[in-house]
Amino acid sequence: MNQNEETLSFSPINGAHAIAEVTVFLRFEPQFNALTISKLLSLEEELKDFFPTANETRAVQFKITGTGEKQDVSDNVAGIELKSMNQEGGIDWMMRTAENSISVHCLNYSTWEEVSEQMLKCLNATFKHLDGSESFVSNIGLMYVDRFICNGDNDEANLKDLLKQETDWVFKGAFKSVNNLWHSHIGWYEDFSDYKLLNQLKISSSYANIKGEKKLVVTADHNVMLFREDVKGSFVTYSDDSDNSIKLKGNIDTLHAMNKKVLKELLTSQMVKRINL
Amino acid sequence: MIDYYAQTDTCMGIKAISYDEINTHDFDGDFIAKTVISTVFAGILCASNPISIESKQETVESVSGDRVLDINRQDLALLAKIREKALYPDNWDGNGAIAVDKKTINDAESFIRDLLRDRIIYSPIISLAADGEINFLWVLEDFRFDLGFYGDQTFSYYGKASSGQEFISDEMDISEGLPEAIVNFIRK
Repeated sequence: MNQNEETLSFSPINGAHAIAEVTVFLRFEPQFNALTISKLLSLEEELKDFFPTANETRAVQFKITGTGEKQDVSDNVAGIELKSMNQEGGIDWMMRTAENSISVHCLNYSTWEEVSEQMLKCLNATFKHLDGSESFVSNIGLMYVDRFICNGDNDEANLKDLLKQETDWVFKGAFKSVNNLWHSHIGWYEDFSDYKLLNQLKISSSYANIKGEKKLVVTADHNVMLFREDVKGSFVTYSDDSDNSIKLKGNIDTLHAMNKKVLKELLTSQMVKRINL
Repeated sequence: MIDYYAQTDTCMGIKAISYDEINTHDFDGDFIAKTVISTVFAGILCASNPISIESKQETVESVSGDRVLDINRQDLALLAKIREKALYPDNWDGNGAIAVDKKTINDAESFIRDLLRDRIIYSPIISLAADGEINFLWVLEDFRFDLGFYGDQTFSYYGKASSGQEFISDEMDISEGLPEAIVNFIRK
C-alpha cells in the first residue's frame, strides 16, 4: 500500500525537517574565573555582524536566613548571550557563555555542513579569549531536539507510524499509553567511531499550541557527549588554527553521526525517508 | 511510649532524629510518631542522590520552546515536497513504477538549495515519474521549463520561451547550477 504523507499519523514539525534545535556545547573545569568571563564579553563586538543582539547574564547568589530574611551573597556577570533574530522576532541562532560552558544554538536548521561551519566559527572566536585560562574543556556535546506533530485527530494518532515498535530506545508502554501521553528518559554509553559516547535520550509526547490548535507533539531530545578522558592526544586546544578546527570538526561530526544512528534506530523507515535522514 | 529513632541522609549531611528531641507536650504519641516518620521520608525524598549516576551528566538547556518554523517558507515547502516523494513505494502507480532513489532526492535537494540561495523564484511543480525521476516543471507566462534528476549528480532540462528561444541540456553537473539566462526567467 502506498503509505504517503496523508496516511502517516505524524509529520516533521517544520515540514521539510523535524529539527527544532541543534546545539553544540563545551563544558569547562574548573569554571571560568572573573578575568576569563570578562574577556569573553568582547565577543559581543567581534560577532555583532552575525549576532546583532547581546545581553550580559548575571549570577546572583543569596541565602534565606532562619527568620525568612533574604541576604544577598553575590551578584556578578556570569557571561553573555548573543542572538540572531528573524523577521518574525524568533531566535534563529544563539550563543551563550556561562560560568562553565559555551553553547551555540541553531533554531533554523538547513544542512549539517552549513550549520556545523557556523558553529565552528563561533567556537573558534571564543578560543583566543580562553588562551592562558586554567579552565580546560572537559566534554563536548551535541544536542538535537526533533519534533513531530500529529497530522489529524490527536486521539487517532498512531505512534507506530513514527517510532519502531522494536526499538531499544523507547519503553514499550509508550505504545500503550491510553491518552497518548508518555515520556521515556534514558542514558547509555556506546562505542562509536573509536570513542565511548554518552547518550541521553528524552522522548515524550505532549500537547502544544500550534497556530492556535491543540496538537499532539512527540519530542526527541538527544544529547551526545564526548569526554576528554576518552580521547587520545589533545582534545581541544585554545587555538583558532586550521588543525584545531579540523580536530574539533571531526569531534562534532562524530556526535552528529551518533545522532543519525540513534534516530535511524528509533524512527520508522517511512519517517527516516520522510526527513531524508 | 514507643521510642522512635530515625536517620536522614540529606544534602546537609546526616541528621539523627530521636523521639525524645520532640516536645510531646499536648500531643498524641502516634501523631508525633507519624510526623517524625514523614519528616524522615521528606528528608530522604529531598536528599541529593548519594550514588553518582555517571550517565546522567549535566547537559545544556534547549532554548527552542514551542517554536515552529514557517512551513510555507519557500525553501521548507519545496524541500518537503521533494522529501514526500520518498514515501512512494515500488509500483506506486499500480503499473510497475519504481520508487525514487535516495541519491535522486539528495540531488534534487542540493539543486533547490543552491537555486534558492540569495534569491526568490517562482515555485516549480514537483512530481515523480514512473522511472524514478524527480521532475521540476515551471509553466510561466513567457517560459515553460522542464528539468529532471536521476540521482547521478546531473540534471537535464528543456525550456522554451515565448520568443521561441530554446534551452536544452543533457547530464549537466549539479554543482554547475542553472545558467543565468534561465534563472532570469524563473526569478521573482
